[in-house]
Amino acid sequence: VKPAERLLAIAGAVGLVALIHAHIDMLGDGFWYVATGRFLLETRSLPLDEPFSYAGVRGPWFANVPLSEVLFAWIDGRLGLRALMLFCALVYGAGLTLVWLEFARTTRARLVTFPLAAFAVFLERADLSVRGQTLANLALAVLFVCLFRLRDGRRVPLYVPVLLGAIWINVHPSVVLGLLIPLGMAAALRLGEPAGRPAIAPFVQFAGLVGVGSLANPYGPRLLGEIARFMGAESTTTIDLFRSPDFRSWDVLVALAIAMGLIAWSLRRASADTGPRVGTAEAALTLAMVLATCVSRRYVTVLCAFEVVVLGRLLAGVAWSERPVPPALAVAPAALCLALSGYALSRPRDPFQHMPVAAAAFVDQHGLADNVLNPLHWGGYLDYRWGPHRRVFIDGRTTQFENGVLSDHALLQAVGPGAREALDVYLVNTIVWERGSPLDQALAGDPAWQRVFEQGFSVVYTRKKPLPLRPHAPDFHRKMGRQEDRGMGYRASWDEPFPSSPLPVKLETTLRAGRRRQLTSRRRGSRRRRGCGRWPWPRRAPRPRSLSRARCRACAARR
Amino acid sequence: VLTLTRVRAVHAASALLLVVVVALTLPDAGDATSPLAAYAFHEPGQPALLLVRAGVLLFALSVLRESPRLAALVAALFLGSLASRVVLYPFVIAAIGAVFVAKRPAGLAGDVALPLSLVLALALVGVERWKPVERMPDGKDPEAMVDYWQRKRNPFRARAWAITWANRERAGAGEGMLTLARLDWELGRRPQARMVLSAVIKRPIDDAVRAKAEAQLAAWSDVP
Repeated sequence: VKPAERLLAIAGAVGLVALIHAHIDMLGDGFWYVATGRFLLETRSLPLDEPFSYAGVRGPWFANVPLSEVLFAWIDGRLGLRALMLFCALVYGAGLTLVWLEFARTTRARLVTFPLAAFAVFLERADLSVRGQTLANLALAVLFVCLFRLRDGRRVPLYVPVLLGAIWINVHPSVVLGLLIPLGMAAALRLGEPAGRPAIAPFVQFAGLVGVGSLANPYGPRLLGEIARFMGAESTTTIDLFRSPDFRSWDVLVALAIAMGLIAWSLRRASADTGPRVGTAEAALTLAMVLATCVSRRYVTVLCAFEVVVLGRLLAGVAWSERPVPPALAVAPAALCLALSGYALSRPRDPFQHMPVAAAAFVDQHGLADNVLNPLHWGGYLDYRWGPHRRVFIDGRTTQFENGVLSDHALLQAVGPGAREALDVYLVNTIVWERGSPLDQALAGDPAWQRVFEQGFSVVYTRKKPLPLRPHAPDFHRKMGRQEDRGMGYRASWDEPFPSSPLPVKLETTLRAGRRRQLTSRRRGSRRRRGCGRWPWPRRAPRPRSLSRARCRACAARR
Repeated sequence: VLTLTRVRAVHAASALLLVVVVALTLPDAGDATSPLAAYAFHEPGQPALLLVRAGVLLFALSVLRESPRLAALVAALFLGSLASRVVLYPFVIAAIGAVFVAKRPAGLAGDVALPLSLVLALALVGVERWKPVERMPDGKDPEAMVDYWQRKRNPFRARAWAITWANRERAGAGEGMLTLARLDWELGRRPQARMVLSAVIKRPIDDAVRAKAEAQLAAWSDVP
């Protein structure tokens, strides 16, 4: 490999990571992943009941992405949320880079396909967040690589699909793609030209082995059933991410237009003898991805990644792409890419920028009464902050809220008829909501409620005459009792009042405490400069003086 | 790169640009009932129409592999039919017309795509029609509403309807009051649950209901 080509490959990889890092955010999902991971690490058992919400469906709850959750919580516990965002950007970037470099083999092909890989990130910019999907994207890239090895008549070791399935199911429910895409490819090959067609059996075998590997999860085959239920759940199909994209937005139309072009080109190339095999099978698979995009906005990125694959293979059969490239043509874009990447990576990212940090701190500080009402997109953060000690109304785990809570949340957001009655129905005593929203305006003139806090984009209301309510449901206390007995750090009795400390209640384990002691000396310098990394305040945001003092006392106590 | 002549490439690009411009300037984008609205999978009947689109497109592109200009036109109309539903008809007509006009290459795999997609579309419509949907009771019978919300595992809503049920029972306290007490207990309102049961016992009611209330109260006496 010439140095210029190597530089282009490195710069492209760094550029993709930087682009992802510039757009990735924690959002609500990232926070509840971490909160669930903490729960799993600290209880060292699967949740026996709904852990975070008082209104969610009671009963056994599937932590359906356990590896992602535990990994995210582990990284957050040791390195913080910014490191977690960088980690997800690295993994997702590694997936895209793998697809880009594996299928676009020549310098010209890499120069042509790189914008398409970057476009995949751009298409996802609004939804890009710290969640298992970023890890699953790497699994998807590995899947593409394996399948096209089989397409070219090469072998894939049997342990690869088993391992892929085992990891994939534990990081994201999209493991279903690991079963469907190989089977779809087998069907597409059967439909396509007989000339040069590889054996179909390895594709079916691959799908089967992914299925076998996917049984290696804490719930066994039941998790596959749960994923099937999740995919067809009403709550999933009502999420914007799983609905059709806006077909009038230019970026979606461009992605689809490129797919049309690739389908036509693949069909024309079906009878060609040069380069890797591309034909009706690739066209059919691209069309299947287009259909998936029509069904759900989430798949537009998968479509774009697959376009990189097909375009790379198509270009490999074109004489133009084989010609040598002047070094300047490779070095100039690489240098530009590195410069832009350096700029993007150096920009500070605040994981809490969209979260009601001050409002949640106020609720803690004043020990405001349960139940707390919150909007869906803040639920994850409140799970992260409060854990199972103070439960939320709703969060991003939407399948837990198909018991009417999702529709009641929509009702409260729009302040439709019956919204005020809904506050009584759910025995709400405290409201953490968006400032200036219809509910804020409605409550401002309601004599039963008083506004007690207002800052930035959040507002807190309390009921003037609180409804009597114990903090949590008794069945939950009883089930949690087993974990309390094992000394996992939960409060001995759930009948105790909530602590009125301004600090978030942290659930400590012996392991984490030991690890923290090890890290204290290493981090002491940076802690002095930036304060306690555990306290979720934006570094440059104004803080109440009293809270800053409390934080410092807590740091001192911990040390 | 695309092995098209420059003129053909310009024609294809122009057709695509035209569709994009028309799609972007169409009104009523947000109105799902309008024929000019963009495609949305989760609306009734749309999954089947998506399969029809896909089948027609694959069939046409398979046939038109030697006619890139016509293929580009069909692909552009396919995108147009997603941007605006009314373009579905020109798309289907143009695809069928182009298939007749173009020279058909031998050994077409796409020949099966159209009938296959139509069969799948009909199957999907059938599945959609026969999918069981649990309907909410109309609200006239609070007992049915309590059952409904308990099946949905929402004790808050169930409790709200249990209050209505209990209010209807008035002096003759019965199952409504007992259900309200159980739901209050489940939600952690223990003093309120005990108060409800005490009220039930004090009222002139059926002995069986009184016995149930007393048994329940005794069972809760151990819990603080």
